[in-house]
Amino acid sequence: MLTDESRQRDFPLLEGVSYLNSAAEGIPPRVVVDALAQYEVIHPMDDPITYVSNFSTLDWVIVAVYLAGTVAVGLYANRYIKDMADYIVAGRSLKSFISVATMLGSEIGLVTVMYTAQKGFTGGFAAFHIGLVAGVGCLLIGLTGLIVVPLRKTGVMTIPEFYGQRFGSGVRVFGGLLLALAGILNMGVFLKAGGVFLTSLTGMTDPNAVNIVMAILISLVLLYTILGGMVSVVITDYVQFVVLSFGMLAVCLFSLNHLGWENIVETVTMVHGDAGFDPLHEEGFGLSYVIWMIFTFGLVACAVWPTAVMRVCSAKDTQVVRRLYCWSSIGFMTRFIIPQFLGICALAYFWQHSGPGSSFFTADGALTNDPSETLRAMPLLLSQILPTGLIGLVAAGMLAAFMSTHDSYLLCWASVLVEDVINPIKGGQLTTRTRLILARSLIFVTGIFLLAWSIWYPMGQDMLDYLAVSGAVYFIGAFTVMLFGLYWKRSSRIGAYGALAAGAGALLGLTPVRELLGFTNENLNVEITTAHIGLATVALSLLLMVVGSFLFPDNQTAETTQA
Amino acid sequence: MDAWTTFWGWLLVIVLVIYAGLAIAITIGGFFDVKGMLTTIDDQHESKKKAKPDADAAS
Repeated sequence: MLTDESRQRDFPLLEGVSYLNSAAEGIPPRVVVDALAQYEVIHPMDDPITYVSNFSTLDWVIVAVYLAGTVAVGLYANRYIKDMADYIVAGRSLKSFISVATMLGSEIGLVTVMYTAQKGFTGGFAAFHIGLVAGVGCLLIGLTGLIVVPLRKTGVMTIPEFYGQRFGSGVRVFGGLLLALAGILNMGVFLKAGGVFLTSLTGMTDPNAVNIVMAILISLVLLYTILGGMVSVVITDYVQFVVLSFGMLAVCLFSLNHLGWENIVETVTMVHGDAGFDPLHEEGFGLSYVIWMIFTFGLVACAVWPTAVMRVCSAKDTQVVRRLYCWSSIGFMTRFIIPQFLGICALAYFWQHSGPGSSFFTADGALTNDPSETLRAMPLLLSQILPTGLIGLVAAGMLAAFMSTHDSYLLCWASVLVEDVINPIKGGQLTTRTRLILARSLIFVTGIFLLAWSIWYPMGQDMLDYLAVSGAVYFIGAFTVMLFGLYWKRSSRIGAYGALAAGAGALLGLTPVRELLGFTNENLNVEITTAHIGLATVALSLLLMVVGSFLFPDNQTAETTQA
Repeated sequence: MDAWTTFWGWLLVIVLVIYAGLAIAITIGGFFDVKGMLTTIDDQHESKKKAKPDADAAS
């Protein structure tokens, strides 16, 4: 027979649920537990009735029309591509508004929305600090012109080209290779974000659905990027910016209206406690993480990250560069805060609808540690609260933004490999036609790699942290080399090699790598976080640059003038 | 914690309002910039075409 004690012991999740008393009274507890377990196999706790998507046929039509239109733009833009400058920097003809639109169109993509929403879900309001430092950092760069203005004055098209101008062709090739490899590794989880988004939003439940969707998405992206180059990137980035901006604003207001501010704050308090609001709280992000974010998103993502620098190189003059950064600071802040708020809304929604013991929460009410679950929370929320029609528009805008991000990145890495690695190795003798064919071939090969990596790689941590760590392999060294190369005359080639190589140390921040090498907190008996590893790598890079430059200064007539 | 809640709440409101304004400005300004970009690229190609026969003639 059920007693108060046995009821509490055997049914902690159902305590206080009235039907249990009447239905289970008189039945031995173990039988009820087994029956409920059996019921859960057939009807998982993520009740299918709760999670049925509002996505309908009309929404599919909207998505299809929108994507077809995007590909048509790529085909149309192809007629403007006559040489490499058109393909990579759109003939250096971008003005202020379109520069801002294209920069934000690339930076506020589906991937960004997914990983920042995940951070809002797992970190609560405290995650807003990332957006705050990103916005302030970008504004300061615009006001001071730090790195970006002197870089634009050099007239280079890519960052490694600057390495070549300043430190010689060897550093250019090494830096270019490191940049492309780190960048492609960084992109490795983009497809996963797209696949999880689309399947969660549309309510696809087949276990293979994510992989199939990823294959279709990468095919579309490849077709579009290979054909169009930078001109099509610019045009679609603009369209993406418009659709996504208004879409995100609408969804935000819709979620706020649906859930209510008080409810949202209350849920964050219940799930995260004080750590859900205070970014410096030890049980949440903590001081070292905040400093790591200031460096990563407040400084590097705006000033050194290649897709941002690509806009600098495409800008008409340094005035446009400064204006671009000042205006973009709003976007850099928004691209974190709005999706993070959607993640927080997802937390409130699923806490209220599913609660402890569901796929997002453990039985005692804590958040699940499974990143693939927390990643799908935001699109699942959209699938529940948005009406038919609007959900199709949001899906189309997000997917187009996904393509926009992919084409920018693919174009960026391919052009770096061709212009900064292969062409210099060949003595700069490759013809325009050969370089274009090479760039397009590399885009194709990279696309295939991305698909394979997305299917195979076990994430093991929040997507934002994966992106920060994999990007750090490149950007820690790049930041040091650009900062010292632009502002310190004594910086030398050997110092640059050391600074770039030090960035590889950031790989220790990836959870699967740490587990593979036994570099875990349990083995070390000390708490070492991703942020600690990242900051230590920055210090090492700066140190190697200074020490290398003092110990091995460049000969004044050395190869540093080679480009 | 109340102070943090108020701070993040106001930050969210400010972000939404400013971003809405930015989106409207860029939507309008960007349209004209795209038109300008395509014209500029066309002009660049035209001037390259013109320069090529001149160079041939000079040689």
